[in-house]
Amino acid sequence: MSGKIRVLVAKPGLDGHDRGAKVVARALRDAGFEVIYTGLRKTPQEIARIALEEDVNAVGLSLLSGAHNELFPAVIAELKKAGLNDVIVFGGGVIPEEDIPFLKKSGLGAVFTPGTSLQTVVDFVKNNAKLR
Amino acid sequence: MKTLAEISRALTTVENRKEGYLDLLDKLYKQGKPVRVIGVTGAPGAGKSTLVDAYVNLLANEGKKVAVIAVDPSSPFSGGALLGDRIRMSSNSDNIFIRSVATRGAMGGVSDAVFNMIVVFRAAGYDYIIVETVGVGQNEISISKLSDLTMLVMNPGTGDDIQMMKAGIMEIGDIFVINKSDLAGADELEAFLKASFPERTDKVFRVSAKKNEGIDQLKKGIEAVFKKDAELISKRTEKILKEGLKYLIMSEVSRKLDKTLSEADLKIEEIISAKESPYSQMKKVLKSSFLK
Ligand code: B12
Ligand SMILES: Nc1nc2c(ncn2[C@@H]2O[C@H](COP(=O)(O)OP(=O)(O)OP(=O)(O)O)[C@@H](O)[C@H]2O)c(=O)[nH]1
Ligand SMILES: [Mg+2]
Repeated sequence: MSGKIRVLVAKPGLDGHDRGAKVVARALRDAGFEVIYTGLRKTPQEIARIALEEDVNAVGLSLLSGAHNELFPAVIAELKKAGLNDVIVFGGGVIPEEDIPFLKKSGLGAVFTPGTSLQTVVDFVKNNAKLR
Repeated sequence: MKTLAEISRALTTVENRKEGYLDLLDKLYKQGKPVRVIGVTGAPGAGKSTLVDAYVNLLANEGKKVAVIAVDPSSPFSGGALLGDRIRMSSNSDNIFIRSVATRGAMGGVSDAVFNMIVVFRAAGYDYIIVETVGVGQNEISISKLSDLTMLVMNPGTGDDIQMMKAGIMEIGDIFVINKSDLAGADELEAFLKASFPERTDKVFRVSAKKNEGIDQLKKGIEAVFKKDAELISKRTEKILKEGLKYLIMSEVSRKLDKTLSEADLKIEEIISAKESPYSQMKKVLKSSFLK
């Protein structure tokens, strides 16, 4: 068997900042993962549908607008609704330290804020995403 | 195989060649109904994904079930891939299923994986399967060999057309799409194509995928080709199956070959000391392998 870990990098909501998402997507590609990038402005429902069609092992969410406390849990709820219970969800962007415990309780495996080294992100995916 | 999750998981099983995948495909192949497979190729950035998005939306609105297989290259260095075709595909109709596929650098390209995925979508009851690939190099041309019909997407004012003609890529196009016709130079490209291919003047279409213009005519043009060239297309089916079968054999052989090479007991010491030659060793290895 010659499987590859597939990761969806997604931008939920109206936030137009996409540099971080693209930088992370490229780093994951260079680490040997197959990365699907959604582009901007996807609804939580659309993200879940894409994750389902692409049969990804992990979903990384990027948000710099401040709407993470609403949108991240909403994406997780849609993923569950789609039956994607074994998908690792993680996120990054401009996210205040004090919001992180709530996000982790909502089901995010990790949250990466500005200045995080890309290797840290790569290691997280390596250690947590599993081939089916 | 009814739900999206089941289809998606079957695609993964097939793509990763998980245990039992050939038995699954064997079963699915026999369940399949006829489907229209359309290849979409052209230079990087020609607007293939944008065009596919506009076209499949039209089909989906008519109630057709459409699958899109969007192929992008794997990095030869990391083995990873950045699959970005979805950025341009905004469709969220329930009738559309989009799957991004990396080439994974396999011998024979991804052709056998695409062939197998077509078998999955066929069994799942899709009416159309659209395969998007970049139109340079060997792999992409072989994917056009798996399609009932191939659209070659070009742009005005780039000069790419001359390059493609030199490379023989024009030959694979059944339908020429001049995309980005909102930009200058579309008249010239249209005239050039019609002069170069006088027998195909009814197969040249000007569209702007971005502005959603001309897509309806293109769709009608594609229907017309399927009707008018029905005989040619049914002959092509034979060719497609033959090609597909070749890819399957090639990829099975290459997997066995990889195994043989990794397990081969190469006695380099003997060669250094000239007790044996590389040639006698090669013969020994082959003799004890599936290639005997
Ligand atoms: C560049 C920038 C812009 C550019 C964006 C260009 C682009 N295409 O991305 C422009 C000028 C367009 C812009 C516009 C705006 N911006 Co601005 N922008 C920034 C700025 C200065 C840098 C962002 C950036 O690109 N960083 C570089 C990348 C590489 O870092 P990053 O995104 O943080 O990513 C890292 C991590 O966060 C993490 N990460 C990020 N995403 C992901 C995803 C995953 C899966 C993982 C694992 C990790 C991860 O890993 C990355 C690597 O370490 C920030 C301030 C700041 N210092 O963050 C403000 C900032 C984000 N912007 C802000 C605002 C308010 C706006 C505007 C609303 C301004 C306005 N009033 O018009 C608009 C809105 C635009 C829109 N449509 O959404 C605010 C957001 C406030 C908030 N969250 O409460 C910030 C924080 C500035 C501030 N201090 O007020 N902006
Ligand atoms: N002006 C104009 N731009 C277009 C049109 N169609 C697509 N584009 C733009 O062309 C760029 C590339 O579009 P894509 O659809 O990603 O092209 P592609 O051929 O799929 O690209 P690859 O898959 O990367 O080879 C994008 O910026 C599109 O917005 C069009 O009809 N007119
Ligand atoms: Mg594309």
